[in-house]
Amino acid sequence: MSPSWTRRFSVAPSVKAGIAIGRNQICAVVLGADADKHEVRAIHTRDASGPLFAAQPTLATEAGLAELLHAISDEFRDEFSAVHVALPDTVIRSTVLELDELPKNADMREALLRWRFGKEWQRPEDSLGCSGFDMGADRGKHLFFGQAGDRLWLDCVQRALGQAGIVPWSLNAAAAYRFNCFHDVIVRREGALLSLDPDYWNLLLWDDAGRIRQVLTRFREDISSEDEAASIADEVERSILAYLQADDSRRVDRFYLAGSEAEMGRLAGTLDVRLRERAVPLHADTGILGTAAGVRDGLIPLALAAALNT
Amino acid sequence: MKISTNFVRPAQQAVVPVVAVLWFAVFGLTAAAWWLIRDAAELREELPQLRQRFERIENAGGAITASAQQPSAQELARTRDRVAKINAAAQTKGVATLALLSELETLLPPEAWLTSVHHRAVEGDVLLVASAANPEPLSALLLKLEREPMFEEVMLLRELQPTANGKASVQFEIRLKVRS
Repeated sequence: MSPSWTRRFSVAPSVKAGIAIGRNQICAVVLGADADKHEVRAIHTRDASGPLFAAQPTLATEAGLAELLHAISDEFRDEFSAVHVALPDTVIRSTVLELDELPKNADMREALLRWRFGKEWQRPEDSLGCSGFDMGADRGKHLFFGQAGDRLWLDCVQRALGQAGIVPWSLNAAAAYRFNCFHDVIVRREGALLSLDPDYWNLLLWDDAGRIRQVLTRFREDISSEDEAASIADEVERSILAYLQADDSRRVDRFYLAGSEAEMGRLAGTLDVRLRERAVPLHADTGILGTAAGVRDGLIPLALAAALNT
Repeated sequence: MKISTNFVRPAQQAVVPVVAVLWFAVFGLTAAAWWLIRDAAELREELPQLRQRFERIENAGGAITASAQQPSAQELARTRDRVAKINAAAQTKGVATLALLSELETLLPPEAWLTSVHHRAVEGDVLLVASAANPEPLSALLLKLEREPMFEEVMLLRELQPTANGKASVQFEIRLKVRS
């Protein structure tokens, strides 16, 4: 049987798409889902009429989001396509819990996450949507990766996706898609990944087994100002030092940078001085065919990383 | 270790199993259709032979029908009459003579004996003659017969006193009916 016949009868989707929903903008990258190579088929970006995720969602917000999603989904709407949706790390927060004993079942683990994030955010536990997974044990402690998001916004996004005719394969935080996208390259050694997204930044630190050990997310201002760049570099430096000093065996051999190319360029110099090590920029479009100018700007790199999610 | 969390329940995970099941169903139905078509073709090939066989069986059935014709109505009526007459001749009613004798044997006193018995089974009439050296055993027999539920209308017709071999004896001639 020739490869063409194999492909013809395959049940895999022919299109992959990544959608990045930011506070003020929404972006979709559509890839041809060939097994050997990926080719960009379309990139759509739309500005939101008002800030998303700022207050509680309303019907008008939902309708507006559905309209935006509809406008960017011509290539994969109502189709059998692998669609991954990235939400800001400020909407879906992540943490790593070190537990003496892991809760026995999924419900108990989710209840633990609700309690933990409810305390942290001073929110009722039932207002949170939680998800997590076991990362194994280290020195007698169970490592449990947990995430939580505002249930109202999570439901609003899912309803808007449904109204736009989009059936998502996954919905997760931006940091999760970035880490998974670069996973095979970056987890060979202990390291850190700083992601720069519009309005916020995210720092992930992982150990020698490739397990995430610390997550930090902060809102930010325009990075073009020297003060903001210095402020981010300060906090990143402090966070890494605190992580290293918590345990003598911890190391950060490589420091990676991801996000908008222009913003990475602005921050790299400051970070190099602070960390005394050159930051390694990561680009999701490496090896992708059909990329054009601007593919490394704004939310596009994040949408591309989401589209490459496996 | 990749981050495997997800905030939606992906319906697409069911796509591959569903498609696989549908493919199996398609293959199964195709195989069944192919088998039916082949079977139909084989039957079509056998059709002329089956028709010939059917015709042969039909012809043989006609011969059997012809040879097994019913007798005529007159012959049937004659046969019925003969059977009725035979049945009437053979028909018995009431108690058999053997059973009657057995019953009389139990009732007859040791000093008496039966001289004759005439039994008409269809009507149930019995005429018997009992003998004894003196009248007492015969009176006792008469009494037993009257009390016996098997009999009715027990009647002493005559009392005789014949002389046999120089010895005097008494005879009771009794008529009775066997209760139907």
